[in-house]
Amino acid sequence: MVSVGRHPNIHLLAYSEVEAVSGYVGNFQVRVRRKARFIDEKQCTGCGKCAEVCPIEISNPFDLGLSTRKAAYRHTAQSVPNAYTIEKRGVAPCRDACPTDQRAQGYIALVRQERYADAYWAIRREHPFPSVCGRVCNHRCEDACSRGKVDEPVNIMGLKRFVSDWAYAHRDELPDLRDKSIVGTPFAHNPPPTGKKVAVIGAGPAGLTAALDLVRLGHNVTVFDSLTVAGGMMRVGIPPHRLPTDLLDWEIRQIVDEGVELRLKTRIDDVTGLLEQGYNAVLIATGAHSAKKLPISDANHPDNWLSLDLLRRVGSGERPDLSGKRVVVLGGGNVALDSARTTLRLGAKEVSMACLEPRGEMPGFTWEVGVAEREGVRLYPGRTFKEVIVRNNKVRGVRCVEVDFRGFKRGRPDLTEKPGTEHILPADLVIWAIGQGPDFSFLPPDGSINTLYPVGIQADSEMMTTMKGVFCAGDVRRGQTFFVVDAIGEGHHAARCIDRYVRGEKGLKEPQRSPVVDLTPQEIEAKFAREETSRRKRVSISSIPLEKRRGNFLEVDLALTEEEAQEEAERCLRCGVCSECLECLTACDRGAIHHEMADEIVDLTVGTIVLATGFQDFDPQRVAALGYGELENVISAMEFERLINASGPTGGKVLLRDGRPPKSVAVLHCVGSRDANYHDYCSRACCMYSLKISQLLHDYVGAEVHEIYRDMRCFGKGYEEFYNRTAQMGVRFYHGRVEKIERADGDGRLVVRWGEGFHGDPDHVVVDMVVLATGFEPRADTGKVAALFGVSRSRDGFFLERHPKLAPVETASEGIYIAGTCQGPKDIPDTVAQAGGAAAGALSLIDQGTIALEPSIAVVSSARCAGCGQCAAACPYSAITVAERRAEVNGYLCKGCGTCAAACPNKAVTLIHFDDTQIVAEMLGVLRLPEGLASREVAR
Amino acid sequence: MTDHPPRAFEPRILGFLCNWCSYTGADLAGTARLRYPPNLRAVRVPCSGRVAPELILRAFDHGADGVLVLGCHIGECHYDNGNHRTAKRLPVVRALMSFAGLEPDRLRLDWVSASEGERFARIVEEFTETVRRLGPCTWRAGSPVVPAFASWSSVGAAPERPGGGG
Repeated sequence: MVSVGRHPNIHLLAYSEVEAVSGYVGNFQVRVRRKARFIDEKQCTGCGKCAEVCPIEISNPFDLGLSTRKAAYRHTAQSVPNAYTIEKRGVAPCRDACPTDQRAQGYIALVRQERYADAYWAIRREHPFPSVCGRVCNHRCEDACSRGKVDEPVNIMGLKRFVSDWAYAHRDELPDLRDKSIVGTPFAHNPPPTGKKVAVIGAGPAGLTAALDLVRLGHNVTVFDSLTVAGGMMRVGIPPHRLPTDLLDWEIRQIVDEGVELRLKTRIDDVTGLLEQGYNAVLIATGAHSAKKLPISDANHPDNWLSLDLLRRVGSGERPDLSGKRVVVLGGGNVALDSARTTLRLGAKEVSMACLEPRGEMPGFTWEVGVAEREGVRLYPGRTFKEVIVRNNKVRGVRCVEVDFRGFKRGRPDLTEKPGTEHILPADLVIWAIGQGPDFSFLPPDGSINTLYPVGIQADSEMMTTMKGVFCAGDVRRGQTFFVVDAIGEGHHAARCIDRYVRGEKGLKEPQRSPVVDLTPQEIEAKFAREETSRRKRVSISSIPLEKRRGNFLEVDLALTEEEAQEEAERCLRCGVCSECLECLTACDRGAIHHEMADEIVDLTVGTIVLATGFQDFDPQRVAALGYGELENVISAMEFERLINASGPTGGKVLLRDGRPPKSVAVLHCVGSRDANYHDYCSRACCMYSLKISQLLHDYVGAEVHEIYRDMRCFGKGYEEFYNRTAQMGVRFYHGRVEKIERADGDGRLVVRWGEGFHGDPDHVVVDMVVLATGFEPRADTGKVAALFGVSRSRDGFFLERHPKLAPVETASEGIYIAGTCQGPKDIPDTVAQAGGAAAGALSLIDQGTIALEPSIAVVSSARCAGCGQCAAACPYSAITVAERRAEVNGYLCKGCGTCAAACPNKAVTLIHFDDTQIVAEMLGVLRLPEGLASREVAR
Repeated sequence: MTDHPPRAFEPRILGFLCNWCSYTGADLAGTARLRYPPNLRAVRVPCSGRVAPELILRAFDHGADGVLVLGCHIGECHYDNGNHRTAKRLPVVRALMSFAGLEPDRLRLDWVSASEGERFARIVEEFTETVRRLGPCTWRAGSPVVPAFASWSSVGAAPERPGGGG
C-alpha cells in the first residue's frame, strides 16, 4: 500500500466519491468529489496530536464498535496516505441556535474528559461572560438540543455555569490564555498591533464583547461608560440573587487584562468629537437604560420608583430598606420579576405584581413566575392601571381595571376594559417595570446619526449608523431589552464589521457554515446502542430553600456538582461529531488543520476504469437463532480478526466480554451463505478463513476449537493440505447445520446445537465463545455504483462480467473492468489474479492507443431525410445532430442501439448490419415463409 | 408429408431479443440446460428500441402467430434508455393491432436480464401457451387489410434476397 501511495504515476484520491461518469472508452469524464478532510493531507505527518486533544469520542467503525476513536482520526494505523481526518456531520443544533455561535458540544465534551480549563477557554473563545449565560440565559441551545427528541435536552446552561464556577474557583491556577492563541482570528491573543483606534461607548455585554474581539484582532480599544461599574445591564440590571457580582467583575477584569482600556464614570456627549480625537471608528453600545412610566395621575410622586433605578442601586451595592412596605410592581416581564424578587429581599412586607398580559402569556420566564410566586409575590395579571392613589402625600395604592388583552398592535396595546372590575391594589411603593428604551440624548443634535422612533438607532447590515465610521450594537440598536446572548452576538458582528472598516476592506463575508445536523430518532437510538451516550435522565439545577431567600441576596440556584456535571455531559449526543472546539488547531505543530475546508470537485479524463469496490459482511443479526447481538460472546469473524490483531482494541488478545480468555470456541460456517433465506451462493472464502481462525485459536489462545461445517470447500492450491493440518492439530469438525445458540444453564457458556450430523457424532457442543463465519454481500450501494458506471449486476447483486468464461474481467460497458469481490465472493489469491487480469485488460487498451469502434452504427440517407429530428430526440447518446434540415450521425458517439432507425418515420436512418432488409430477411428465414419457399421452389 | 397424421397447432413465434440482456438471458437458459418450447424463433437486435412497429407488423404479415419483444429491465438498458422508447411504443402497436382486427395478445413485451435464464424460459412458455389458445393467425401478407405496407414491399421480399431465407 505504501508503494502504491508513493508511486509517482499513481494519484491516490482517498476519501473521495465518484459523482458522475460520462463519455466512452478512451475518453471517460469522471467527476470525483474529494471530501473535505479538514486536515491538509500534504502537511499532516500523522503524529496524532490532534486526536490526543480531541474531546469527541465515538464508536470506532473500523474496530466494529469494539473500541472508540476521536472525531480527529486515522482510518487504520497503516492508512495510506498517512494523514488524519476530522469527521464532521455538520453544525450541532445547540451551536446553530446560539446567537454567539457558542460551541456547546465542544465544551460539554471537554467537561466529560474532566478538562475543565480547556472547556473554559472553549467557551471564552465566543463568549466573554460564561458566568452570566450560565445563569440568566434563555438557552435557545437547549430548545434546539437533539436530545430533546428522545427525552429532555442536555442541561447546557447548567454545564456552562459549572465550568465558569470551576474556573473562578481555580482562577489562580488557570493556564495562560496565550497557549490557546490562534493568530489571524478573533481567537488570537497578543496579536501584532494594527495601530487603529476604536472607541466603544457603553461597557455592557455588546460593547465589551466587541472591544475584546477588536483587541484580539490587534486594534487599540477604549471603552467609555458613565456608570461607576462596568458590565452594563449584566451588572446593574440583573440582581445579585441571580448573578453574583464578583464572578462578573472577574470576567470583566480578564477583558481589561487582554488590553481593553476601560474608562468608567465618563459620559460621552460628543460622538463626532471622538472621531476628531483620532479614533478610526466608534461603536455605540449604550443599551436601553431608560425605564418608562404610564402617563397616569400621580405617577410622578416620589414613591413611584423605576425598576431600573432600583436594580441599579442594588447592583451598585446599595440596599434600600423596604421593611414593612407594601410594594406593587407594574409589569410582567423579566425586569418586573427581578424587581419584585429584589424588593422581597429588601424586606418588603407584601409584594404584588400587576400586568396587562393574562397569566401564561406574560413575557417573563414561566419558570421564574412560578419561583416568584413561591417566594411570596402575589400575581395580578390581566389588568391596566388608571391612577396612582395618593392620600396625605403618601402613595396608598394603584387603581386597576381588568382587561381583555389581545397583544400589541403597532406598538400599542390592543385591549378592552371589563366594565365594573375597577379595584385598588393597596401599596406604599409603586415600581414601574413596563419596559425600557434607549437614551438618545447624547447623539448629535443635528440628526446626523438617525434614530428610528420608537425603535433604536438606524444601522445598515454592517452595523454602521448614518454617520460614517460610527457603528451601533445591542439594545440601543434594537431599541428594547433583549437577552445577554443577543447583545454578545451583536457585539461579535459589530467587531467583524468594524475590523473590516478600519482595515479598509469592503463587503462582509460571513464564514461558510456546514448544514445543521438533524438527527432522526433512529440515529439517536443507534448512538445509544453503540454506547456513545448514556440513557440517564436530565440532571436539573437545585435551589436554596425558600426560607433562606428573605432579607439577603444569596444566589438562589445552585451549581451542578462535579459528579452531576459528568453525568450530564455524558448525555450529549455529539450531533456534529466534530464540535469545532478548536483544541486540535492549537495542538497541531504543522498548521495542517483547516476547519473551513470544503469538498473539492475533481474532473478527470481517463481511458479505462477498473471497479474494485469490494463487498460488505453479511449482518449475522439477521439470523435470529444465532443470538448475535444478544449473546455477548457470539462474535463475527471480522470482530475476531480485530481482536487477534496486534493494533486492535485488545492489542491482539482474544477475550470474552468479561475479560477472560476463552477455553473453548466454536466456529460456525456458512452464516448467511448457501441458505435460501439469505444468499444462495457460496461465499467461497469462509471455509478457509475459518480454518485459519481455528489455527490461530489453537496456537495463540490455546483454546479447544470446534468447527461446525456444512461442506468443507478447500478448493485451492495447498488448501486441502491446510485443512488436513488443522484437523491434525486437534480441531474437531462436526457436520451439521446450526439450529440454535443459547445460554447454558448456570454458567454463562453457550450451547451450540445442530441437526443432521453424521451418525455417532454429537449434536451440540458447550463453548465459551462462538465465531460466526459470515458470508459476503454486495455492498449496499452496488446498485448506485452500477448505474453510475453503466455496469449490469448478476442475480446475486454483484457486478456482472461480460462473459463468465471468455470475458471474466470485462463488463458490458467497453473500457470498464471489474476486479475482486465486487464481482463475486472470492479469496485473496483469486482477487489478486483477477485484479492482474483487469489491469492487463486496461493496459492492453492503453498500449494499443486505439480502440475498435462498433461496426454497427447508424447512417442517415440524406436523400430520404426530412430533418424532422425524431432520431435526434430518440438517441440516448446525443450522437445525432440536425442541421440545415438534415440529420447527421457522429460515428464516435453512436453505440449502435438503433433506436433512431426505429423512430425515423421516413426510413432515412438505417443501422449498419441491422437494417430493415436484413432483419426482415432474418425474420422470413426463421419463420420459413411459405410463399417465399414456394416462389423459390418455382424459381428452381 | 401427407402421410403424417394431422398434428395439433404449433404456433410460430417470432422473438426480438435485445443483444445485451434478453439474448444473453436466452443463452444462459441454454447453457443452464433449461427447457422451453421450440416455437420461438429468435432474431437478435441491438436493443429493444430498434424494434420498429413496422417490423412487428411485418412479422405477422409473413406468418408469425405471435411476436415476443424482450428487452433489458427498465433502468438496466445497455443504451441507457432505449427500452423506455419500446415501453412507450408497444402499447400503441397493440392498440393499432386491435383496431386492425388482430388480437393484441399476440404481441407481448417483457423484460429479461442477462442473468434471468429461468425467467426467459418461463415467459416463452407462457407466451406460447397464450398464442396456442388464440389459434393460428389468419392475417397474412397480401391480405387486403394492410394497404399501408404496399409501398414497403420492395424491402425484404424473399425471392429477390435468397440469403435472407437462410
